[in-house]
Amino acid sequence: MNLIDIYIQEVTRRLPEKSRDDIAMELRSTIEDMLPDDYSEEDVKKTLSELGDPALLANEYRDRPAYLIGPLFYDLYISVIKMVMPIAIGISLAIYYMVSLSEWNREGGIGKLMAILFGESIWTAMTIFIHAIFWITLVFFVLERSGVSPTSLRKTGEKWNPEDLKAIPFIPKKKAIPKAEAIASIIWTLIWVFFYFNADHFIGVYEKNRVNDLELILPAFNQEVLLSYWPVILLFIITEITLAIFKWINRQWTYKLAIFNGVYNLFSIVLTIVIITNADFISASFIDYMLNLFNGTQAAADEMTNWIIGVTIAIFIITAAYNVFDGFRRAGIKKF
Amino acid sequence: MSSLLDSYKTELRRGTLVLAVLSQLHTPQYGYSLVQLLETAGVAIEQSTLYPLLRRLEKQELVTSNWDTTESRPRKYYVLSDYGSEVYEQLKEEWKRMTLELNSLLKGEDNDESD
Repeated sequence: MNLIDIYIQEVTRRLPEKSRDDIAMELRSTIEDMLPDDYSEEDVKKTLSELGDPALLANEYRDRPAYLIGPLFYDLYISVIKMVMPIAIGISLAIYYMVSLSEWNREGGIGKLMAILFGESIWTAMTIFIHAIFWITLVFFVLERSGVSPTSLRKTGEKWNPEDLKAIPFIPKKKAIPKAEAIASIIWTLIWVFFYFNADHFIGVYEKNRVNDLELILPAFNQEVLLSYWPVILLFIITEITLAIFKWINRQWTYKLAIFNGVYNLFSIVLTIVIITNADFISASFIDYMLNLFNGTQAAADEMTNWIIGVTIAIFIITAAYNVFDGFRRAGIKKF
Repeated sequence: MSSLLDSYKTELRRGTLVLAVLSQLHTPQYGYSLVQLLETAGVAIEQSTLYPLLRRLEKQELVTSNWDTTESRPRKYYVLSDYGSEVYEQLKEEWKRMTLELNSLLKGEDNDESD
C-alpha cells in the first residue's frame, strides 16, 4: 500500500466532506513536487515527516475552533455557572426534601431517614450539578458557534461604559451574605420542621431490637403538646423562610435586615421558652424511664429537668443575642 | 527558559507570516513553488502551516486560485486578488511603521547600555 495514499487519507478523513477532494488533490501534487524524480520509499518517508503528523495538519486545515468554550466567552460562562449552581442545587434539594419526607412512610426507621437526609441528597445535588454544567455548556457552545458577540449579552449595550457600574450594588466583603447561608437556612428549616412534627418517632430512647436494628421504645416529648402550637409554628416557619429569601435578595446586611433578624430571633426565643416550659412538654413515660435509670427521687428528677431547661434557654438567648448584635454590627460597616 | 523563548519567537514570526506570503503572490504560485521562494529569501515556514494558510487566505478572498491541469501534474495556483493587493499594501505600510518605531526603541536601549 502506498504511504502517500494513506497519509492523504489520514488528513482528509478528519476534514469536512466537501473540502476533502480538493485538499487531497492539492496535497498529492505538493508531495510529488517535494519528491525527487525517481524516488524511493526513504524519500517518501522524509517528505511526509516534513509535512508532519497528519492529525495536526488536518487541524490546521480545519477552520472551526478546536475548543468547547473560547476565551471570549469563558468568563461569562464561569460566572453563569457560579450564579446558576447554588440556585439549581438549593431549589432541587428543597424540593427533594419536601417530596421524600412527605412520602416517607416511616418504614426503614432512622437508617432510611439518614439515607434520605445525607446520602441520597448528596447524590441528588451531584446529579443536578452535572445536569446544570451540561446544559450551560451546551448553550454557550451553541452561542459561540452561532457568532453571537459576548458584548451583545451585556445588559447596557455593546461597549463597556463606566456608567454600567452604577447599576451594580457596592458590597463590602464583611457585609456580604453568601448565598449558601440562605440555602442552608432553608434546608435547616425543612429538617427541624420535619423532626418537630415527627418527634414522637425519632427523639427519645432507642434500644436494639431482635434484628439488631435501633428502635424507638419511648419518645422524649409529648407530641400532642408540640402539635398544639401549630399555628404559631407555622407563623415562625414563614418568618424564617422570609428572612432567608430576604438575605438571598439583599446579598448584604442592612439595618432593615438587621431589624428583621432581631424580630426573628426574639420570636425564636419566646417560642422556645413557651414550648419547653410547658409542664407536659416532656412525656411522662420518659420521666419515669429516667427516674428508673438514675434510681433517683422525683425531686432530684425535677431539679435535673429544670436545670436542663434553664441551660437550653440560656444557650438560645446567648446565640440569638450574638446573632442579632452581629447583624447590626455588619449593617453598620461602611468600608471593606 | 528556552521553551519560553521559542514560543515568543514563534509568536513573532506568526505575525509576519501573512505579510510574507502575500508579498510573493503578485504572480501566481503553487504551494511548493511558494515554499521555495520563501526559503530562498531565508524565511523558514512549516509546510504544514503554509498550505492550510493559503486556503484560509482564499476563503477570506485575499487570494484567488485555479487548477492548472495542462502540465503532467495538476497544480493549484494562488494569486493576489484586488482586495488582497489592497490589504497587502496597507499591511506593508503598517509593517514599515512598526519596524521604525521598534527600531528607535531598540536603538535607544543600545545607547543606554553604551553610556
